[in-house]
Amino acid sequence: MNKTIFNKVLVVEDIDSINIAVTETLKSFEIANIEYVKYCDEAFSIFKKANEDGQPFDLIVTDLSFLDDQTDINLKSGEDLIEAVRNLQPSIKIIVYSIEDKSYRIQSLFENHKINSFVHKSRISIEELKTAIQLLSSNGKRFYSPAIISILEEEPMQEITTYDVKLLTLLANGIPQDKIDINFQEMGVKPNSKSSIEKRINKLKLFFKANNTIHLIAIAKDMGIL
Amino acid sequence: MILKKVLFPILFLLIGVAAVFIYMNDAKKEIVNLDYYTKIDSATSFYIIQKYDSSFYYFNKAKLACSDKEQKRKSYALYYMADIQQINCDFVGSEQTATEIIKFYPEYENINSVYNLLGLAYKEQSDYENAIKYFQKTLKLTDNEEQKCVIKNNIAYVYLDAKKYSKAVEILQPLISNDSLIVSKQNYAKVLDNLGYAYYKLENPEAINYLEKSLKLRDSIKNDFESIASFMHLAEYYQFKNVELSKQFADKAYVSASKVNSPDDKIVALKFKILISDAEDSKKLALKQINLSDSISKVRQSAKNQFSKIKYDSKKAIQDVQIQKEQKLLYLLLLITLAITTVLLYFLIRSKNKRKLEETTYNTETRISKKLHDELANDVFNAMMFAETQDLINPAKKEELLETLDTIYARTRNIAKENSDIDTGANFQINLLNMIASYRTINTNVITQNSSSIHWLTINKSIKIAVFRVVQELLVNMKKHSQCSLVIIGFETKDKTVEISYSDNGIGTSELLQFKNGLQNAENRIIDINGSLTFETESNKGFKAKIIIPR
Repeated sequence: MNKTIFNKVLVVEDIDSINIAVTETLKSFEIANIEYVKYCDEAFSIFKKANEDGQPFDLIVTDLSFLDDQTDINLKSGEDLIEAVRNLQPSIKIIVYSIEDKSYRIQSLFENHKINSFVHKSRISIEELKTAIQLLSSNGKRFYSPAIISILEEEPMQEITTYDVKLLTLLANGIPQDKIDINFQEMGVKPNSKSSIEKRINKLKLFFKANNTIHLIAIAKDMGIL
Repeated sequence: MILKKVLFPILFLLIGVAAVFIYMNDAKKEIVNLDYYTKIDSATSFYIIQKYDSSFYYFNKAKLACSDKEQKRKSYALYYMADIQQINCDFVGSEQTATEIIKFYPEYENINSVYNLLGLAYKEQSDYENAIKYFQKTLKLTDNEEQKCVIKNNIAYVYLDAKKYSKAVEILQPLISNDSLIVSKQNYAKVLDNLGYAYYKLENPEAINYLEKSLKLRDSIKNDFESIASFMHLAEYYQFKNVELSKQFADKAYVSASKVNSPDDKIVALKFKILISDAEDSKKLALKQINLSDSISKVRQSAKNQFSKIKYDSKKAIQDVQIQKEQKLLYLLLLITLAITTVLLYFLIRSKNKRKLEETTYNTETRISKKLHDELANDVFNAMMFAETQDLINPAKKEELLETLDTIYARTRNIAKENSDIDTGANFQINLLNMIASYRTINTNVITQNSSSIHWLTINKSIKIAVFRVVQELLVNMKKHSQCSLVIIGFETKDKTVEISYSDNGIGTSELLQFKNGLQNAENRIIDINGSLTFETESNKGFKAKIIIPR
């Protein structure tokens, strides 16, 4: 395996088997100095000491959730640790290695905590971790696990609003689609252009799995929207 | 068990506090009764400056400040009240007040004064029999020789009023040689005057000697009030013997009566003047007398009314105090009852909630356990069998095992997710919508309606958890049983409620039973937060549910 720019790496993971797997992966990059710990508080004190000694870490691989079997925990989650570390050494590279798949939590990690990569724990995650490290080393590029990309890029919600109900009501009352814009204008409902109305009706057909407008109205009635 | 431990000390404490409170209230009054003495002080001050109505008012207040046990203090106040009534010529009222003392405290050490007061009251009401009876009683209880003479004089005076002159003489004659009486000029003059008058009525020539002797004595002590009687008796004495002299004495009596402001005596003097004056004068005098009489009777009536009003008001006040006392006790009882009920209810509700929580926890645990068994144990066992029997060196077999394990992994993730913590903070809405979105598949569209219309930040944590779990359970059920292609979850905030509606186009009716099993916990939660969960389903017409929760 190619050598990377990373010389000193801290692994934070409380499950031994995963820890071993990650450490082995790192070793394959000929990284000489690898330390691993099981708790965030411990991780931060090691990190701080290294920093004070003038031999700082240049990469952290961390999980997000940890067993809370200890009392007096200061840093309860990966987020807490990342924030503390970032404050001390803003340039540090961080890879999150976690089974988390809630899109808002992952988005927050990138936006608020400025993590560099997110690797989703799965069958193929060791390979993904390798890719993430290589990308980060060669050009500093972000890496997301493909499974996560689909979660992040997924259309957030199929959502209908009062606007849609008004639209469907007019259609159900027999108003032709090309007359709805006039009605909307009279009612002061926006957007009321022909094109936006048409777009929205098509969207609704997709949402409701309707073949045509009549089908759409029938479904809407069955579902109790109208 | 907890109930016994905690409840009874609290009960005892409450009763204890109540008892101490009541006891202290009584004890305080018993020992000092500062209230009584301040009232007596005020009353006495007013009595001295002859503000009798105010004095009466304060004596009455002092009387009310006494408990039933403080008979002596009460009697003292009552005695002065009777005295004041007599001063104001309210003899009926005085009689009542004095009788009150005799009724409730006959052992009163100054009871003879009370008897004397009663005797005077009866005399003024012309009830001579009773007057004499009470003066006799007074006499019996009196040791002081001079006082005895005064009382005897009083008795004689009653006989004079009753026109029993010889009886009066019988009593008065021995008194004038009594040494202890002679020392007291004022009283001696009284006896002499009365004796002279009795003799005058009996047409005994000794009369004039006694009358003049008395007047001389009275002149020497310069007491106008005492002199009035002498002047009147002399005027009467000279009525037919010397009209001019009679007139002079009558005038003197009127002047003295005016000086000491004794309206009754003024009237008597006027009446007498009318009697001996010629027609012209007597007409004027008569008018004068009528006016005087009217104004006196007005003043007296109003005094009488005032006294009876003060007494009546105080009676009412006592009743009010009694009612207040009863009310106090009632409130205390109510308070204790309330406290006990509250404590009881607290423990009852707590234990009920605890039981419910335990039940919910237990149900959750068994549900997860069943799930682990149903969904994982078999697959893990199969994977184990596969690993034991198959040649794992073969890459295809290894891949197959890994696939199986990956499926198992995905399922554990799902179980974990279904039972994970719910972020009830600022991320609740995103969390909820993500959870809903995660049930979306190629075959099933899950649509939300007005998902931002509920302002979750202002809503209670337990409500959020309940909503999350119920919606989740509805969706789990949907995935398992409904075979639907479309789900709509609507959110709405109304005046006093938030409403979440679920609607799918699945197979309907048959789901309901299984659904209810799965949702039992979540449904309990909705009931716990005073919400309601209603279902509507019909075969092949889909399934609808509505959660309504108070805000």
